[in-house]
Order: sequence, then C-alpha cells, then structure tokens
Amino acid sequence: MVCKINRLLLAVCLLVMPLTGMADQQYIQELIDRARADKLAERAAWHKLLHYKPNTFSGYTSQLVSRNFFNDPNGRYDPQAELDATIKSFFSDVRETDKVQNPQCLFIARYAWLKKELKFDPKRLKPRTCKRFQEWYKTINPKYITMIFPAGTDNSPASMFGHTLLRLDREEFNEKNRLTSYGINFAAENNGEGGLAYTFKGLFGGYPGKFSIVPYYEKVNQYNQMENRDIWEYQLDFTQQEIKTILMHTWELGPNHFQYFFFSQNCSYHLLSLFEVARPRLNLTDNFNWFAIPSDTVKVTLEEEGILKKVVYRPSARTKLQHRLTYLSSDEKDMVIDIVDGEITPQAQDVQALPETRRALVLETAHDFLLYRRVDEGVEGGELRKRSFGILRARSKLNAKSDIKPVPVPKVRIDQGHSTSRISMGVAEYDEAKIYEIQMKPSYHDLIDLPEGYTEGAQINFFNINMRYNEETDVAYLQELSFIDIFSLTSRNEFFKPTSWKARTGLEKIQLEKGKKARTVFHVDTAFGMMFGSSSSFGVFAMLNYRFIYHDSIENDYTMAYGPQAGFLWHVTSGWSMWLSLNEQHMFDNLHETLVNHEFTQNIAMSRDTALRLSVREYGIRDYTEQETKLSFLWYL
Amino acid sequence: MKKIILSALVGVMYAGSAVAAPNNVGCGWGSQIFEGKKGMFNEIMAITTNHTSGSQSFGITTGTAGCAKDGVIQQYAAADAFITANMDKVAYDMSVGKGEALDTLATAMGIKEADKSRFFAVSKANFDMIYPSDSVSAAEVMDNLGVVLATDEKLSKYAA
Repeated sequence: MVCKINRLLLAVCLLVMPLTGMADQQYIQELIDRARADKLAERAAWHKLLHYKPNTFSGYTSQLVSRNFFNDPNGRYDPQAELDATIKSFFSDVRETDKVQNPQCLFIARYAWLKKELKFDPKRLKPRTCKRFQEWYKTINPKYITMIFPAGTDNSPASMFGHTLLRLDREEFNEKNRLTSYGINFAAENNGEGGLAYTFKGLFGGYPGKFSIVPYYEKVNQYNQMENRDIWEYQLDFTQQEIKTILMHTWELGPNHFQYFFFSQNCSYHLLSLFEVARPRLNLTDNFNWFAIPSDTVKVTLEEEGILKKVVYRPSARTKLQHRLTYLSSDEKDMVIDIVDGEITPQAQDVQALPETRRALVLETAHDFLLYRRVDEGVEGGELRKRSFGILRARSKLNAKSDIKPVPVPKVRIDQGHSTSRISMGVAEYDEAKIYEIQMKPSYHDLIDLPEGYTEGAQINFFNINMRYNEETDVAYLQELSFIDIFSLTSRNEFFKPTSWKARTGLEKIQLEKGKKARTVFHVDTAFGMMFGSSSSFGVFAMLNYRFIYHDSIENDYTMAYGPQAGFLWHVTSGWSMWLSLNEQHMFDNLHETLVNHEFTQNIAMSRDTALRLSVREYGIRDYTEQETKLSFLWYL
Repeated sequence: MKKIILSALVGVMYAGSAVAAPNNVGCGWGSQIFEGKKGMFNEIMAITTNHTSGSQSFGITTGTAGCAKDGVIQQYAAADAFITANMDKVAYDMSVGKGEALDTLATAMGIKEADKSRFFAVSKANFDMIYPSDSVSAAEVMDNLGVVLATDEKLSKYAA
C-alpha cells in the first residue's frame, strides 16, 4: 500500500522488502542452528511425529508415503533436512482457505512441538490462526479417548483378529449417550477390489492406508448390527494436552497415506503410533514388526501403568437377541417365529391373550429377530421391513415394560485370553517308536485352546509348523506346515441356522498307499456340515470333507478325496476341553484308497498361558492304520 | 378437529423451515446398506482389512463436503445425519418409549435432560404419525416429529 505513494518511497520499499526477507532468513538460520545444537532431529518426539523407523543398516525411513507430508524433497529419509525445511515453511504467508492451509496449520503438531522446544518469538515468527483446525476441534470437543475393539462373531473365525479404532468422547456425554462421538479409524483403501489381487496387495502393502473420521454410531451399526460383533470399549487415561496432540497429529496426517499391510502395519499398529505421538517415551509399535494382532495391541497398550480407566461392554444384536430368548417360554418362542415368518400378526389371538408385559417382550424379540434376519439375508426393505413396522406399531400401543436385565458382561475380557503365539513340545509313541515333536505357530487359536476371551467354536491358525524326530530311525522331518487352518463350528437351533465349515491348506506328511512310505504332500481341504448342541459348551457335529492332494508320485500328480467327518466338541470346564473327530476320506481320482484319521484329544489349561494336551490318534490307510499316543506341553507367548 | 388443523398448519410452517436448513438429502447421505452373507473366500480374506465403510466416514482436512467440514458433520445437520443412519433403531426405541438411539436423537435435537422423558412419551404416543409407513424417509420422519413436537405445549420450543 505504502509503496504506491511515490517514487521515493517505492525505492525505499524496494530496499526494505529484501531486508524483511533477510530478517526472516536470519531468524530461520538462528532457529535451525538452535535445533541442530539441541539435536531436535534425533529426538524421539520428532521421529514419532514423522513416523521415522530405523533402516536395517543405517539411516531412517518414514512410514508415510505421501510427498505432501514432507517439506523437504528428501524428508522421508532425512529427519534433519525435514526439520530444517519445516522451520523454514512456518514463515510462509499463505492464507487459509477451504482448500489451502498455512504450513503452521497444515503441520500443526510439528509446529506446536517446535514452538515449545525453540520458544518461537512471536515478533519474529508471526503465529497464524488455524481457523479450520479450531472449528474441527471444537466440533469434536474431545475430553476422553476410548479404544474400541470389536470382538469376533460366531461362524467367522477370521473376525477374531478384529480391528481397533479410537473414539473421542465429549465431557457431557455419558455411557448411554456416546453414539455421536467421533471415531478415528485407520483403513485400507481398496476401492472395492476383491479376490486374489486384493489378498496379494493387502499382504505386500499394495493399498494406501489412511486415517478417516466417522461418527461412532456408524461403527456401532457396522459391528453390533451388521456383523453381530460385541464391542469392547477401553477408556484410556490420557491428559487433555496429550489428547489435543493426538488430534493435531491426526489433522496433519490428513489425507496423506501409509502403505497398508494386513498383518503388520495395519489399523491397530497405526493407532499405537498415535499413542506414541502423545507420549513419545512409549515404544508400542516396536513390539509388532511382523504381526500386529489387534488383541495384542490392546494388551500392550494396557500394560502402561494406570492407563485403563474403565471398560464398557456393548453386546451385539445377536448377543442381545440370544439373551432375550432365555426369558421366553417355548410357546412364546414359537409365537416369535410365527410373527417373524408372517404366519400370524401381532394382533393374533394367542399374542393378545398374553399379559401385557409378556406381549411387550414377545413383540420386541420378534422385531429384533426380524432385523437380524433382514441383515443376515441382506434384505433392506420390502415385505420384511413392512412386517417390522407392523410389530413396532403394535408395540407402541402397549404401555407395559418388558422387564429384562441387561446382557451380563463376560467374566473374561477379549484382551484377557491366552497369548496368541504358541510353542508346544511333545513326545509320542507311534508304531513302537518314540517320536519327539516341536510345534510352533505365530497365531491364533484352536478349538480346544483355553476358550475364554475367544469366540466359541472358532479356530484360525496361520503358519503352523510341526517338526518331528523319530528316535528309532534317527530321522528328523517336517510333519506338517499349514499355511492357513480355519475351522468354524456353530450350533444350530430354531432361531439360528449356521453352516459349520472348514478351510485348510499346507504341506503334510501322510501315507498315500499301503506298504509305501509316507509322502509330504500339498493339500487343500474344505468341509461343510452342521453342529447341534444342548448348550454352548457341548456340541455334536457332522460334516462332509473334500480334499485335493498333490504329489508327483501320484499318477497325473494329484488325487481328490471326499468323505464324512463326525465328532463332538466339549468344554467340560473352563480349562478342560475334549475333542473327538472321526474322519474317513476315499480317494477317487488316480488313487483308490481310503484315508483314515480318528482322533480323541483333551486339553487341560494349567494357567492362562500353559496347557497339557493328551491325544490318541489312529491314522493311515484303512485296514492298515497305526496308533499314536501323544503328550504335549503347550506354551502361549 | 381443531388439533388436526393446527398440526396441519404447523406442519406447513415446519416444512417451510426444514427447506431453509439443508436436510439429509442435501447432505448426500444414504442409509446403511445391508450387505448380506459373506462367502467363504471373503471370510478368509477379511482378516484385518476393515476397509472404510459407512456413508458418513470422511477423510480429514478435506474441506467442505455436503454438511460436513473437514470430516465432521456440522451442528445444524447432526440430528438429520444421526436419524438417517439409525432409522430402524430410532423407530424401535420410539415404540418402546426409551433407548440409546432415541436418547441420542433427543440430544442432537437439543432437547434438555429434564424434557427427555416427556419427549420419549410423546413420540411413543404418536408413533403412527411419525413413522406412518415402512417406506418413510429420514427427512419425513424429522418433519413428522417436528409436527408432533409443535403441538405439545412443553416440547413445542424444540419443533423448529
């Protein structure tokens, strides 16, 4: 403005402008020198803010991929250069718009930390107002931070791995009223891609992983209602300043992305990195270089002294429904099914004949069951929704309350189950020879491992390796290497009709033909069937198995087999489980023998993380089987 | 008769005010999509993926989009956003006369704690009017609720 007045002043202006630039330059250099003298670029806080991890040999690389996250072109690999460039950027006079931010706002957590460490002089470095951040922060208005962990669901062993996210609670909100709190969620952007490409990319970091923000009710709908997963909420004791730091950092991460790895740098891993930014002395992510299993990340977080304030259990739609059903007589259960099937209306005589409190209970249960069915069958509107509203209309006419207690909280929390890796050592007697065995798997849970804290009837294991040494022949060999092993047994009743199933693949040493030595074959197994149980701790199952076996000693290199499998799963007490499985499979392609594998196993947990397992097995080719008795010691770590 | 005319009148007025504020249609949210059963292959692959879901999930610092700013829903749209995602739950709670979803909706509408039990009772008594059919939209439910509240002497202050 002033410069327009006259030529003389213009000349003065031209002189002064570079001078102010020079003043900036001077202060920039001063700050950089001080930062270097204090070795700020080597501080844990700086490394956490930029997500630097040491390289295998020397130097650092940030886990962030987006260039926009860095101020220096080489910032991803050079903490010092990035720090210098960041200081410089704070002198920018860019004004905030809906699309653009000043670097002080764009990198607001870095700015706050450097401001504190270097005590910026507001006269020499003009502080900018970050209106967009402030509005955002005010709307979220966080007072507490809660870690959200959805448990696995019946008939879906993979869901036990779970997911974690953070919820930001306002002060005035209470337990009954937290649905409109915001959640911070880290997820892969797969753009709807599926199949093998999805698996491959997911395993090797082919998808970008980003943080997003979402109202908690959307997550509750997804987990509690759509996926029937109980949710555990862990309220954590972070200070107001730490919570603000987490939000500032989330803000500066913004749309920038990491690589998403299913097993290691996944949702749960990156939540831990937010905690580290809030408390730089924490080293949580370093525990998870290979596998970040969500329940393990919860365990590690809770190890921090005094961090856990409170745990809240939020049962799923199905858990609530199952709980309601325990209050109904068998006549009332029949009514519920008839209403849901449309056989009778809520106005039917039998329903009207019930006392009002019972009628309220029957209608509420019918509504819940109908909603469960609609979700299960993927039917949103139409006839079933019409029926739902008919039930609600009838319910709204009743003033009675259905007196039922809240769903009881499970005694053992989902983070309190056995550890997820396992090593076992066993000694077996087979064909009069003594065999020593060592077995290892990085994760996760089998049907007779201590069930508390895990989903019942759900087995999922990865990379289970089983090595054996035969004392008599003095030979050590690979007995089994299974890549993936899923077994899902869920009881059926008049309300729930799940299909039990299994899927397994890997290498296994088995006898293929009479009189010939055992071969290490590649196999893929699937099975479908049903389980019926009198209670959740006992069930009898029957299934049909299909098996593909590959080995180059077989004509055409492969054979197919099928056959029945039956048995029971019984959790006799909380620490004592039994498993009987009778399994025969006839090979019908290229080979024509019947594979036999009968097994009776008992598992006795001695503590949460140790157990003894005794099994008796008969296996081999039919009429040509051997027996094996094995005792193992299991250690979970 | 008098009451019907009054509520029809108020209804017109309320509908007028509802047009002024962006409603959920303007915000561009869909209701929750029921996905149905998952196949075995999906099951095996669904281990820790958790791709972003929900129509109200946003990136952070993305500027203004619909009724959300930098990823969070603006105050004037909070109740609409909530009911859009929770139509079935709110209906259930209204028919029973209490519940978490209805409580949350009341809070989002600015209803004070002291008035909540009345709000629950009134919405239960007028369930047929608020949810007249199974195909009612979230915007219609909010409008109908506005009409019902407007005719209640203690709750009319929350109607507009």
